Amino acid sequence: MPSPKKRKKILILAAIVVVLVVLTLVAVFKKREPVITVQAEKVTRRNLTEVVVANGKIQPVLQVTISPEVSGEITELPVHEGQFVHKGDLLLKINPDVYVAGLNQAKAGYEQSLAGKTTAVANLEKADTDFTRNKELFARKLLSESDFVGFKVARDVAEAQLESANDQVNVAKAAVDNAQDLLNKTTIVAPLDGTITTLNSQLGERVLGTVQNAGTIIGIISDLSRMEARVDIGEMDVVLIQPDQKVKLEVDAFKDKKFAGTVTQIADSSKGSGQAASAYSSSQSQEATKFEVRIRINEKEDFRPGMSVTAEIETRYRTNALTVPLASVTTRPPKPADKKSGSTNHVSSATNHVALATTTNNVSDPTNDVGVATNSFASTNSDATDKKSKDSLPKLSEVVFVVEGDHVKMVPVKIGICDDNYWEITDGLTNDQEIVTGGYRAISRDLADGKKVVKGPVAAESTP
Amino acid sequence: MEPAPANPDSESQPVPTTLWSRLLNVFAAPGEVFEEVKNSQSSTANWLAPALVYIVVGVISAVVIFSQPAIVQQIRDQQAKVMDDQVKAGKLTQAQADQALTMMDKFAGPTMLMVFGCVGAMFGSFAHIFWWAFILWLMAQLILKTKIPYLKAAEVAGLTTMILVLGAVVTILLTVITGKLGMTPSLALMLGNFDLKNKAHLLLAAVNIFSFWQIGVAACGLARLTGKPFAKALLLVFLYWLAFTLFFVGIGFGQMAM
Repeated sequence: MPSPKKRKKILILAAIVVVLVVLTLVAVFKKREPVITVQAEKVTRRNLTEVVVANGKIQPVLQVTISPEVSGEITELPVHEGQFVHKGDLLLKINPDVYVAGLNQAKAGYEQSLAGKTTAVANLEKADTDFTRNKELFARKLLSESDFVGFKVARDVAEAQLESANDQVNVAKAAVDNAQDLLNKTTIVAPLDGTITTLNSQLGERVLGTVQNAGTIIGIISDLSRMEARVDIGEMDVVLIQPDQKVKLEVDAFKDKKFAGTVTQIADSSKGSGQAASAYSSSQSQEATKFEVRIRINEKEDFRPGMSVTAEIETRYRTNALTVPLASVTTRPPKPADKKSGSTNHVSSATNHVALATTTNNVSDPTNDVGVATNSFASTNSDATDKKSKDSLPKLSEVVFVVEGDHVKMVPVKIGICDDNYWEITDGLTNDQEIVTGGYRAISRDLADGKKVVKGPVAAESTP
Repeated sequence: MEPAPANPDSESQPVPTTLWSRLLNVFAAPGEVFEEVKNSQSSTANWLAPALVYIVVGVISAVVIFSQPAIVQQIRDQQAKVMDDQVKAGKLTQAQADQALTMMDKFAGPTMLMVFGCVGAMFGSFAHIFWWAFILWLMAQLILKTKIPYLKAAEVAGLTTMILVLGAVVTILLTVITGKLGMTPSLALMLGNFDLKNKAHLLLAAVNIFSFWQIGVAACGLARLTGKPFAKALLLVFLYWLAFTLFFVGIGFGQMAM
């Protein structure tokens, strides 16, 4: 039997050992929950302006292509590129010799037709006189019937010849007018006040008229006092564009300046839709369908036609909207409870093109939801098999992860419009809730409802 | 029948215990251990062995604790908070703060923290023992008016360090269990998030079971070496600990008192 002192020692040491063993067991068998490093920020209210960005060129509102209607050699060219011309100013003259000769020929023909008409009139008078005199003789039975009919026919022939001569005169007159018109067209004048922005032809050059073919484009006259931007908008965005929407324009040549503009015209048909079907179908597989939108530039500046421009068209606007960073919204299969609750959280917002693109992409490859526009376009052309397989997948809902202590809660949200940085949240969140905004991998893959997180700086992530 | 008389030699000179026994008995019967230390010749093993054990536990502690991502993140958060405070106070520009944080991320990553922790454990172990030995020796000389050899004080301090070794083991386990920084067996366990720069947090962390145990054991050793009452020695050691703790918490280096 150990002494009381020894027993006391054993008890104390045993107590220490027990405490250590218990703590060790707890530490070893504690649920090892991975901690995900995230960045977070609070849901805040902001003013949002949704913009559609498009690229295009600066062009004059009024621009006229100058092509001759008659062919020939340029004998006069008193203008040069960049020159301002007034309406009616001489632009060029084409050698008129051929057309003068043609006019003279037509005039001669006209004179000839007039002479023919005079002859026909005289013939008709003679035939008519003969007919009248012989008619009396025939009435008195002094003339045979066959001779009488001969005079009658002669008079009818003379009448027909006069009518033909009249027509010949009209034809000859028209020929004179036509020749005069062609001659007049050897002189080309400016059809509007403007600047010669393009001049392709030179003095002495032979040009082709547009009478028989496309003709030669001699130059272009532009009214540079009124300019517009012509930009190409994709089919997903063009439905958001309406006349009179405000636009911010950035012209590459004027880097430090932004211009204001207004949408004036939206093309009803896409570019290339009027082309031959074969050519269109071959290009369609490679290029997105684009619609031309014209934007009137409000400011005056020394724009040149063809300058590159980037337009930000303000399509929708929200004041004091609940917003979250774009990166914080992702997609996940709905929780079982959400499935039962119906399709309120399903991604089906036809008005929200960005969300649609992202979602389509996620469906096609849930492990890689990098937003690549081409994927969404490709998906629109997917065949029935793809559609069937997609339909069998659970519909994804848009979610954000709300930070609650050291865990996150997955919250389905309804998104509205977006700008470059933020989504509008129309349902699911309240002001001042803290949500996960990064990193990319955590939001797109790692995070799930109830996961443990720790806030920290952005770690270097390899883009999948 | 009268009992046989006891052997007078065995009464006056008890059988010396092994080092292993002394290292364990200091938890359960420190008075016996220090009595033996007082009465026996100086033994280097009495302070060297605890120092080596303390180093091993310190290294393990550094490796285990700084391999916890949550702990490293909490340290980063606290560094960032300090920088934010400096920026708000106008002592640093945002650019300088960002640069400093970048440097910290570069040079104070988990590996570097482990290295610093291991090196700190090596030097800290010896420094702690010799500092405590110096304090005990000083108390004996100046206050208790008893001359004791410094090496005897070092032996007491060394053996007393075994209490801190046990405390360090418990701290490692608590840190692993909670995944939080500053989880010592102290009142700091009540805190949700321990803040190294918060003086109240540091004071709570200083109220550590193992600190009080160490104070008691050190006081016991001092009393045995000097032959003075335990209560007097306990008061001295406690007052020293209190002054030491309040001083370092006061100047913002409360980690020294943990």
